[in-house]
Amino acid sequence: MISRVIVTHEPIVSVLRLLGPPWWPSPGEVEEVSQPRTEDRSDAGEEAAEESARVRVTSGAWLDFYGVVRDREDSAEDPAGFAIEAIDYEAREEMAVYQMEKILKELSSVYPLQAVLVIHRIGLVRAGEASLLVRILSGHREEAVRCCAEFLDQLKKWVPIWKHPVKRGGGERGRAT
Amino acid sequence: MRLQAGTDLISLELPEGATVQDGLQAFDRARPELRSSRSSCMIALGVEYISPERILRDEDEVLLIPPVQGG
Repeated sequence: MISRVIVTHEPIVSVLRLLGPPWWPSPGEVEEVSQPRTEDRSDAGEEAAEESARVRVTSGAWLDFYGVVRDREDSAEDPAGFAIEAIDYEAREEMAVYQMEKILKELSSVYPLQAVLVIHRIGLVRAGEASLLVRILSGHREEAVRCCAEFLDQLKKWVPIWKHPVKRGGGERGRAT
Repeated sequence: MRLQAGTDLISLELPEGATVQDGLQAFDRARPELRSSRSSCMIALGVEYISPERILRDEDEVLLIPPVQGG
């Protein structure tokens, strides 16, 4: 399985474009979908490029989950919540990457996946912007959907990333650390 | 918790063979006002979560990980 985990201050779309195949572009953005893509933007070696091309034509399911910052912060304890304009994400970066890779390794032993990409933003992410992308490629839909749900559950249990909501009009609330 | 503690590092001297659990008890004695926050934390060393039974070595830096909120 090809896997890649990235924690970054950059917008997700900017990171995706730099990654190249097999992660970018998605099948919906490729004009000639029947052509395996091994274009110049890949800085991987020949073997990796071949693997990348193979994954793109053998993955019948390509699942993207985007976690997006809402304009309201609420919870079971505070259902009314409060209006926010952004979330400032903080992480122990090395540990966060390690823990996500560990979760993916465990899940790949259960589900037959072709490739998984996780990008988690840190720093200031404004309402309406994506803070998380989980992109899963697999032969069939069932393993991709199940794996994505399980990954998200595990992420929220083990990965050291914290949210600092930025209230609309200034101020912060809910510091976790 | 870091804000409440006013620092991101608290040093403790422990006897040889002390476990993580011993360290946590020493932490609670040193900073009793942080006990409530501390008790909701997970414990890690480096990039791995560790068990309270683990024996600590000299210079080990134990991390208190508050409930995480990624996604």
